[in-house]
Amino acid sequence: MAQTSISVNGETKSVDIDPATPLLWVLREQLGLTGTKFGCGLALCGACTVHVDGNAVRSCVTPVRAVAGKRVTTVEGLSRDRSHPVQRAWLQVQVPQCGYCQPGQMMSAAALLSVNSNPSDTDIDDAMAGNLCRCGTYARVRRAIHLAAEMARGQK
Amino acid sequence: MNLRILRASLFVTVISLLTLSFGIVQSRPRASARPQTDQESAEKSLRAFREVASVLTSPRCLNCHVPDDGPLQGDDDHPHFMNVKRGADGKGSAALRCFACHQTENAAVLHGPPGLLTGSSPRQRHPWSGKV
Repeated sequence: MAQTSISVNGETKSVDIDPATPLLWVLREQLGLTGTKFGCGLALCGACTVHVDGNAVRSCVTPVRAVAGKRVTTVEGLSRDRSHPVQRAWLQVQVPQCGYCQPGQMMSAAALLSVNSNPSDTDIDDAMAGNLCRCGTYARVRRAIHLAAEMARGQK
Repeated sequence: MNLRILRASLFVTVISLLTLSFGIVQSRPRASARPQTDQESAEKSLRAFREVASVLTSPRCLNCHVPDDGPLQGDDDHPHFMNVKRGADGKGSAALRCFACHQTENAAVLHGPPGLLTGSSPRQRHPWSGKV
């Protein structure tokens, strides 16, 4: 056990935990941020995606020691009032079916839009290829990302 | 019993010292050493290269040193899961960067992502790809 300080959604948190513990379990079990989901535990499905310094990472294989001193953003931190373009677009398009993978889908989408404000279908497919959805909502995910990009550019 | 252990330890120590002394004597350069011929030098180079080649042609290296857009995976060099792309800067595509899944060290979990040294695919095909 060791005291580890991490910045999550703009707040500095201190946790007493084995530094090798995956970030996912610190978020869910120590900090109560259960929006981030456990899917495979092997970085294969994308359900646990969060941002570390703005980049999408798989929290299930990221030891908490690797994010000490870095900015972690979870799906709860996209915005408090559902005003993030990705949140608005996801609601408008009604993307989720069962919803389990959607926090990861949204975090990858937000990471994509942070570096590409007008992604093509190919850009979206490349960026989202690591986020699996057993319900097959891929077409709606793609449509919502295009809509979120328009919203972010102020066109909708 | 203790005497036996003592004798055995003494025997091992003596043998180790003799071996070490012999090694030191052998490793000293001999004044009368014959210079290598060109052929001997070439053979030595080839032997050394074959040793290096066994490393350079390891899937652990060549899975990223590929001529195409995406890295390979596994000892059978199959395309990387998730259709991972090299990206404009060689560090993956947006939202699917190499370090999204790979740390600088192997994942603690069995069959987890292996560690990456740089998180960046080589930009160019290396000269040994497909030739060694």
